[in-house]
Amino acid sequence: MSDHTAAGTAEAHLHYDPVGNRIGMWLFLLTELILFGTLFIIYAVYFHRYTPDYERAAHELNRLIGGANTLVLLTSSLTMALSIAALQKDKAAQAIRWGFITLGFASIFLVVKGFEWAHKFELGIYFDSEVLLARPKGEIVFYGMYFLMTGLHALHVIIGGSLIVTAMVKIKRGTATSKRMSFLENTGLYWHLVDLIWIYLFPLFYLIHR
Amino acid sequence: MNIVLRNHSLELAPRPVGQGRAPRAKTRWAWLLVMLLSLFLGSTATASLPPTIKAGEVPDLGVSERLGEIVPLDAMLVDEQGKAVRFGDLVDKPVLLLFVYYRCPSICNPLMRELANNLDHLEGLEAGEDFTVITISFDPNETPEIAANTKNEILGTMEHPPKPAGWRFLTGTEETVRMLTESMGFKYAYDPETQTYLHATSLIFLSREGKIVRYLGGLSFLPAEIKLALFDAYNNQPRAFMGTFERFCYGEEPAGRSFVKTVNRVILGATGVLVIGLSFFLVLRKRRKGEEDSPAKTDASKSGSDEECDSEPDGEGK
Amino acid sequence: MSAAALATPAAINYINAEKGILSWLTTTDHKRIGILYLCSITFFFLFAATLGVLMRLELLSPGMQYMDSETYNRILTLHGMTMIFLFIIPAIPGIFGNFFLPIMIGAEDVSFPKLNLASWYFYMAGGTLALLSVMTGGPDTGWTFYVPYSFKTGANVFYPLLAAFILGWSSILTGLNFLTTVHRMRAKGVTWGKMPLFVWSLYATSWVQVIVTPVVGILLLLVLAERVLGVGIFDPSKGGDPILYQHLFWIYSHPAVYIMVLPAMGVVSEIIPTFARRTIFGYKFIAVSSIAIAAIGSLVWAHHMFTSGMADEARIIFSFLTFFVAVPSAVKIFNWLATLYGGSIALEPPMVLTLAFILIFSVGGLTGLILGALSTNIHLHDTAFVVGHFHYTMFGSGGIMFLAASHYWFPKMFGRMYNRNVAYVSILLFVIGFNVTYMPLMFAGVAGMPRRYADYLPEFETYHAISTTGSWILYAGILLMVGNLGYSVFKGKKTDKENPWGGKTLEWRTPTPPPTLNFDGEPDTSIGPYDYPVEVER
Repeated sequence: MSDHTAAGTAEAHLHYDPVGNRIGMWLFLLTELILFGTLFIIYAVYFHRYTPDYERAAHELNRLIGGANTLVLLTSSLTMALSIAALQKDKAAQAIRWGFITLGFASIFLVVKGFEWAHKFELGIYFDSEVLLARPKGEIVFYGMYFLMTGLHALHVIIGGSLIVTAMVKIKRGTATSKRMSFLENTGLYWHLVDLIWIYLFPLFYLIHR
Repeated sequence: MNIVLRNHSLELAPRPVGQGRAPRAKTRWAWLLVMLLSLFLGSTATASLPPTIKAGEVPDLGVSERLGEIVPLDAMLVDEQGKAVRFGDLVDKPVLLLFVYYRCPSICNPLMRELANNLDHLEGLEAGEDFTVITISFDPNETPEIAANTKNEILGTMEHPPKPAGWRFLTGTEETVRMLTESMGFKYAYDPETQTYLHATSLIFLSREGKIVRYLGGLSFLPAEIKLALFDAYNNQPRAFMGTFERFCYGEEPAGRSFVKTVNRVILGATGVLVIGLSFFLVLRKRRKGEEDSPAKTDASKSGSDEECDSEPDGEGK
Repeated sequence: MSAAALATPAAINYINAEKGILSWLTTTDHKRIGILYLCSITFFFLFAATLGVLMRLELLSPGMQYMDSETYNRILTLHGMTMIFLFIIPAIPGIFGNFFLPIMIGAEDVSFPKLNLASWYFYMAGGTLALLSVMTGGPDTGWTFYVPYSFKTGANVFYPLLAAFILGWSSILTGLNFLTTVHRMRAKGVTWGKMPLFVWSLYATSWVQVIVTPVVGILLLLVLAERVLGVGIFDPSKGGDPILYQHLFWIYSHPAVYIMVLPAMGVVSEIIPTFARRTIFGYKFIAVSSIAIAAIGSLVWAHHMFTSGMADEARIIFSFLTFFVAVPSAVKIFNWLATLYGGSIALEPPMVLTLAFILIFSVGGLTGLILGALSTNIHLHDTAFVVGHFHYTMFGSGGIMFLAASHYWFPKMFGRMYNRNVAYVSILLFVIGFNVTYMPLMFAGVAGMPRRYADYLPEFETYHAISTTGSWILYAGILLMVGNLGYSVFKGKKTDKENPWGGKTLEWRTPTPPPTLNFDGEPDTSIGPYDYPVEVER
């Protein structure tokens, strides 16, 4: 140990600590959950107040598209897990392949989401639009929450996607291996969180009407 | 009693009269940015307020401050005796104005009592001598008799009630009152479901010229703030203070109150579960550690000479 | 560990290991990051203190003399924002937490050194944005950004909101880093039960930070969205509800009070045993009370809302909780006093500041109870009494203990010593100035002086005149203190004493200034953090 004291940065000296990395990631996920949790509380308060408006507005969202997107995201969680499993068995090429499939699902999700939003924009439904402001207050709030929460979620999908790309580059370069799983594992954790949040968003926005 | 006011005004004489809400040089850039943003987003639409609200809706309530503007002095109102009176004729002194309705089941009465209580403690200033208090009902169905009754009730709670002309209780037609409230940015709406008016509370101070110089929101006041506002009204000087908007109050809103309760319970419950869960987790962890001591880092009770510190019992590590 | 390294202690330390500004700006060494925080936080502190003095100057006599009320509002907001978000919250964890937490647990660094540097950059970005907001006119919403005012005001709150959001993430990342470090990086022998109390308090603080900061993060983001996009979540004209914002805001901001106070208490628990030469009394109680304060503290947010339409039973619960949180705080004060009792007390500058803290913080705590009690609260709620109270608690804890910690760890950090006589003079000025400034405000509040006003009635002139005079003494004290320390960083008397105060925690058993990896070889954990010889007891 002492030969390092004179030179070299502390960082180079730090040993690799997978448990520490995992603790750090879980703490980060906790903050993410609380972040979205606050939005869920706000959602719940307004849902309680404007139940009929919420149901009416939710009727305008396409369950089929939403459901398909849910399926896409769930499958992507599976492929992400497969990628991790492959790397654990030192099958780097396979891990990268599963990673790219995950990315493919992520892009499908985003494109579908984009079309959904674009459709709403065409109908004149967006923040502060005259069409929306002419509607009952509950619907204004519903769409406010809808765009905010799905928008923030989409942002997380994009971040998750860039994390996957980085992980793939790392596997390619050989800096992420079965001995150094942390980065890929944490990416996986993040991706599952993104998935999990969507699993709550989907019924809240698409399935609340009778 | 005017001497006090004059003294203060002499002291304050050299300072420039404020320009109210006109854009200031310093904030030009801020304005520009906001303008650009709103242009960019096309967000200039403003919805006009319906006088009656639909079920389940929260109306646009509150007060948007119109500091520095002149109120319509020609409005014709009705006084406690049922006589027609021109609003401007009452504004011959600084005016403390409040909009309420006399049959209001909740906050109007506490508001008037709080004001009455404060007026009792305005040492050196007297309603009727130095300024006039004017209460205007925004319920067009209320009669001068109701107004007179309310006046008797409220003045009856005071230790030193002012002369009858010191605190006027007026009523008026729907159009007149709406014109007045709109000119002062005071918003209210009728809720047919509960047959009440929803509104916020605000004390509005006018100068002798009829210029709006100050808003005080909320349901509790300090005599010092009222006095200071009256001085500003005397000096015809509008000023915005931070206290006025932070105490934005929604007043009566039956749905709102139960909702606050609900939120309280939800959040209290969630926080409680979180804390209990966390401590439970820590206890469990400690137990497990006690059984199979993790060999990596936390195990140290055996290493070294911590028998020395017998005054300190060891924590989780043992 | 080789014996050779022990025989020839490395002359190379964290300061001279690398050279050039760039090496500082790209460092991942937790000690250097601590110094980076020290520089920036001191700057923001002096900036905000100057704003405070300007406000007091305006309040010297009734009427408006030097600024209009709009300017006063802006300065007030900026003063509060800078002091809270840029000074008190990050000061002790950012500077002394970063520098000493790893050393105190015998680690080489924190768990995520790069993230640590990133937090500093976030902090700087947030701070710069906050300053930018002055250039563009400054916010006038108060530091709480209450809606609906915060999205209707013409002035620019865009920058400060964004700044607060970024700062929130900075503190989340620091908290996350500390938590992982404490769990994973403790050296052999540093058990939970032998962790210094400063580390315990940072641990509790980090939990609060990680749990409550995201709430305010998302809220500020929502207000931002409200302003830029016009979403309508908190806008009553679009169906939103401003009261909801207030509740969620205080969920963060009340625990934030403990984020400010807890690290300060941790520093006290270090300084007192060192200068009383006694084992800390009730180690376990102090450690546990940190956690208890953190836990209960997150439940009492609503006492800020007594006057905004809350159900009666909720009021009673929150009023009770407010009293309840005073219990662990009081436990700490009694433990400190018990530690002092019978000790051989050395009145070195850090110790004098700490004693001042105990006095001032007790006043703050007691006045807090007065505010927490339901009936009195209604009358004092919006008066200058509140201003006096929170300066006694916030500045009186976070501020004073920041200064005490600077004096305590200064020789270890820089390998130099400050002028102690100058230090005593500056402390005297500081303590006198502090009380002369804030005590009259409480009396003015009881007499009915409303808070947040740039102007007041002539009857309050005496209080304000005294207070303003006090602010000059206080300011002189602060400038002298900072000047003394700043001068000594470069010109102070050199010292390489490992343990100038005779402390027992690990940082006093490594060379001065510490080497890059904190210890030459394995840290010696055979002595507990408060193992003072028993015979000192008389």
